Amino acid sequence: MIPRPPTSRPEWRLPGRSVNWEPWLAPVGVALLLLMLPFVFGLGREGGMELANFEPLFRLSTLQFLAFGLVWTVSVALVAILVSLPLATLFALGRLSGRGFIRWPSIAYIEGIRSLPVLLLIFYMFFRLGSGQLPFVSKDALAVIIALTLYTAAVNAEVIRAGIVSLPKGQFEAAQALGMTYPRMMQSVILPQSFRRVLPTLIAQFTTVVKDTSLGAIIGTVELAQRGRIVFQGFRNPLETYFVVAIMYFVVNFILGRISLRIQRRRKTTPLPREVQEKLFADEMG
Amino acid sequence: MPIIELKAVNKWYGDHHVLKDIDLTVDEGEVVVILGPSGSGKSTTIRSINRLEPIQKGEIWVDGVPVHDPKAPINKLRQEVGMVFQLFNLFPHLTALENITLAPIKVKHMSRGEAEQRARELLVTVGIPEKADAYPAQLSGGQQQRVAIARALAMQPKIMLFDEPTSALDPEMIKEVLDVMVALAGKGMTMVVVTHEMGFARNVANRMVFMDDGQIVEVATPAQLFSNPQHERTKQFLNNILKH
Repeated sequence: MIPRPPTSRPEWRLPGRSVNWEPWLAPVGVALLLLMLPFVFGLGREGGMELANFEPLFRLSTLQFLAFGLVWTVSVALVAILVSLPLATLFALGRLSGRGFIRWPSIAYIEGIRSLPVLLLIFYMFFRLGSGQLPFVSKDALAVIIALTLYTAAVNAEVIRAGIVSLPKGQFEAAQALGMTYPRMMQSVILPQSFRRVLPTLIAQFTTVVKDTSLGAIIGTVELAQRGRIVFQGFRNPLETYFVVAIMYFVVNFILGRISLRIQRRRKTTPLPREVQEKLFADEMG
Repeated sequence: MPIIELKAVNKWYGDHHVLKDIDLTVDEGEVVVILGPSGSGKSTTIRSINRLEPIQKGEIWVDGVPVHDPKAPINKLRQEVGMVFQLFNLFPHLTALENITLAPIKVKHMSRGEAEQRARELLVTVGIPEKADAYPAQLSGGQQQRVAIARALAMQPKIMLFDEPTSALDPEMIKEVLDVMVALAGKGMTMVVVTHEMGFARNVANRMVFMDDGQIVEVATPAQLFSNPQHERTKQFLNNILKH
């Protein structure tokens, strides 16, 4: 009998022994990129950026003004990310449920919300929230948070579902054979492994959340991009201002990416040792 | 007094009739080896005992629990029926020790201290106490399978099911796993084993079951089966696997 490989293809790559350059190259690449960017924006050329125009941006008052926007952006994104993750997990499990009355609403939610522009969701939430005053948070911020949460939950539900179905069947069977109930199996065995597998994709979606907070501008939020607009109108230096704003977004998402890498390096998910993989491979080849 | 009883068990995958009127009883403390060619239904049979494969017709009684009944307390029963798989199925995100303690702590609500102490004893039993903190990816196949056996034993099962436990292993590693299984049988564990390891069957099995095409063809002691098989199909199969 030919034993089937228990997992999807990538698990079949035999572990390589080459030097891992990535941790060295990434920061170097980023530094080079940052050095080049001003020239891409046309530093010193006719109609391009001018060094003198950077000066007002580094005044304390300007930096404070922009930093407040950055804090707003990061907080709104963080709340949306943190709330959307458990929601996404529930919808992923819902879509995999054997019970129609759980599965169909989950599919409807995921497919429905995923296909709408975030902009539309933000508008909708803004008008849906009416005109009352809210404690702790402004109405426009809340509208952005809810819209981004709902959207990200729908998108990431599919990502997490992909992670779950990519696990070998044997993981489910081993958990069941030990007498685990469904919630116990999911919590202790299946979800921890699924999250590790799809982490890069989840983080990619989270960087989208950070960027999409800028859509709040249309309902008048005070997020980073909008504050950049206010700043350059005073100083008449749009190119330079947006350059600084771009770097701020970049730094936030770069940090997110680094966190992702760190977690990925910690994972140990090669299910079969090398000699077993080789034996299965040899068996299959005859 | 049988602890496992299969009565006229039938299973279909669509039109494909994979189990045809399987009748089998296993007594407490007995070691039963099931053998047969690929696709004979031997894996399906052993997996039906803890309902990893539900059946469509017939009855399966395990330790007084009607496994065929959808309302049977299956998770409770599975705690008493350990299972070892061909591809080990260790949890790759947990260390060897955590693999063994997970179910005792989370399912049986044993204290962490007690579970870990028992897990370390079990690792001694299976011969790899030094691997407690290793992740499955850092273990050889034989070591992984022995951790998997320890994981099943940690639930203090009354019955152990082995589904081709050595068929993904190199010859040297097969022995280290079989040694653990022989010792387990020596302690009086009730075992149902699907395997092609005829040496193990000859030495340890009380009875052997030969299956072909979803049916039980022949049940006999190892001595009878090897020296004097009754059915033509059994003879043919034994010839094929014993010839080299």
